[in-house]
Amino acid sequence: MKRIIVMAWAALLICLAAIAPAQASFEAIGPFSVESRDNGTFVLTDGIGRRIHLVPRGQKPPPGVEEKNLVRIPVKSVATDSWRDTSLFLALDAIDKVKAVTGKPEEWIIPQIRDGLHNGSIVSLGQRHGMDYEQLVKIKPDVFFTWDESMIPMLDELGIATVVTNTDLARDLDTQIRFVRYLAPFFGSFKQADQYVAKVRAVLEDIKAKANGVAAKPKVIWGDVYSKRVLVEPGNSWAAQIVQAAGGNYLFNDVAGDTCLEIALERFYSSGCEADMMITYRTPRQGMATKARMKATNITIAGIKPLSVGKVFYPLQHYSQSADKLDEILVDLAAMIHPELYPGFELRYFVEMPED
Amino acid sequence: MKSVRAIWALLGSAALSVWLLLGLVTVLCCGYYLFEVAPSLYEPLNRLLLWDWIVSYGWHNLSNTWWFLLFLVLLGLLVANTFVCTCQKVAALARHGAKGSRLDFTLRFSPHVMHAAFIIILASHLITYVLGLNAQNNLVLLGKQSAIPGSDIMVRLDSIKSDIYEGERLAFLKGRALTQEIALSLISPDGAVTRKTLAYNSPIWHDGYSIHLKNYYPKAKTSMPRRPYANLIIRRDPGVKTFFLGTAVFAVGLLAYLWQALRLHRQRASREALA
Repeated sequence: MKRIIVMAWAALLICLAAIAPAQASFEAIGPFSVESRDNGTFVLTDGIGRRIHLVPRGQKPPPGVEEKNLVRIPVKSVATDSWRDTSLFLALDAIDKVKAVTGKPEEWIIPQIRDGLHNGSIVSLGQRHGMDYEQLVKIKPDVFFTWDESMIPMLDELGIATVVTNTDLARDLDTQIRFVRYLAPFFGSFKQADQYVAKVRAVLEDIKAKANGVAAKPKVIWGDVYSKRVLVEPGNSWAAQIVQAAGGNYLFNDVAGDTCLEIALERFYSSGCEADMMITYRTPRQGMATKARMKATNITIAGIKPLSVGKVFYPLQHYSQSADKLDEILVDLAAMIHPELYPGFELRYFVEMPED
Repeated sequence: MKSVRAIWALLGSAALSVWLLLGLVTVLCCGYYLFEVAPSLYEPLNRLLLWDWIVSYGWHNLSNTWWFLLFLVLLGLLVANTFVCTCQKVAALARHGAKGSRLDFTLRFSPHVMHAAFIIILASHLITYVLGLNAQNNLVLLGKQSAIPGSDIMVRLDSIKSDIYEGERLAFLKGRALTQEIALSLISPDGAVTRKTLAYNSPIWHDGYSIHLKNYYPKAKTSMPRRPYANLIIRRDPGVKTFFLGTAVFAVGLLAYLWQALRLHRQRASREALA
């Protein structure tokens, strides 16, 4: 009997040993993953589960890998339609690799992009929904980072590798922090990525430590009000998780799904009546300059507490192009939730919405 | 030879079944909590083959995924245990031969038929997760075509029609799609075209492949300008026929068991009436 048990364990260990060398390193970053292999290649999973092979220049790609799923590293030129991803290239010291973006120069806050668009070193591909593919073909970037999966067939035809950085489920806080490690292999900027992650994590720990000593937990909702609909950040999102970490009570914790998830007006109203604070992505640029305007937009939810006695915050224009300053954004959010813990602090990425 | 006999005896033990089932319950209880901690580690099981998941997410996150790997080992042992027990019992039944009627003798095999079905059903899942195809994100633009992975069949997106909600009662739904009809043409290498319609809850089957709708655009009467497209999940489940066979065998075993139970009940009742 003992011999059988020993044999069974030996068989199990042999199986495990067979698995062990199969991969040198594998890191799951939410729905993304980075698998680094001994020969210097990487296999990445993008936001919708596609596998992208990163192969050093001059090295033969693995057999069976299609050109459309192959990126030569380190990349020399990048195109993107994402503000958030572009700002992360700053953290990776790779902003000079950006050769094409969508949008006009005045829409860009990042000086390198704005200047590049002005002096012609970076090409504007027009608007996201009507991209200038001729310009894109001229640039022929090594890789295109996009949030829009419908770009894939067209870019496949043009022979440009596509990486979808959007996900079906909202990104959680850990993914938001470590996403930079997903981008690092494209540029070989591993050190910068590690420094970024360490910096943001240290700030997060500090926020948690400060919030630990506070008994009162302000009730927070994060959502966008439209004339007939309301969208919220679900409980699985980084937004909800930072509210919790900063000592707040996020009232949509029971809601799960994609970022900016539509929920029933009744549900929004019921939580809104309890909330002390609301954060919204709707800003004066989209015609939502005051609480009075928000009440008039959707009269059904006009009675929620943040629109009367509570506070409403919205992000400033540079917020969406500041992913490289995630640590500062987190501190802003923490200071909004517990201002007494951050005396004299001035918000840098958010502003309070006026009454009228 | 002695060792083989000892293993055979151990695998055929009823005590082992009890311990394995207790082990499975314990492991699944642990899994319930560990899954809640990091559900994103398990989500890729929807698109990866089992082995690919084990050597990536499974192996590199053992602090969370150990329960799943242990679950697979225990399940494998339970299958071996069931197989050996069934063989031993069937052999014993065959050795003793028919004591009553031929029908009684045949019906006595019914529990073992169900055990065999259990093994077939688990094997079918293993076949699908080890040898199947689960190609996510096959995007096709309107009027364009794309190849079905691993085959020469092309799929073309012919049209996208949505049934739009025009009522007033659900304001948030107004102008948005209630149902959809995604018209596809499946083009064989010889040029033969098969036209089929796809929707979220109506996948289509073609030449051993099943095609499911993952996403499409546009979904509303007035939408942000974007290219119309359909995102398809293309699957091939080589285990599906085995699964249906297993289910059919299980149904036969269950009916036979029920028949036997009714016959025994009736015989007992008539014996009591005579007494």
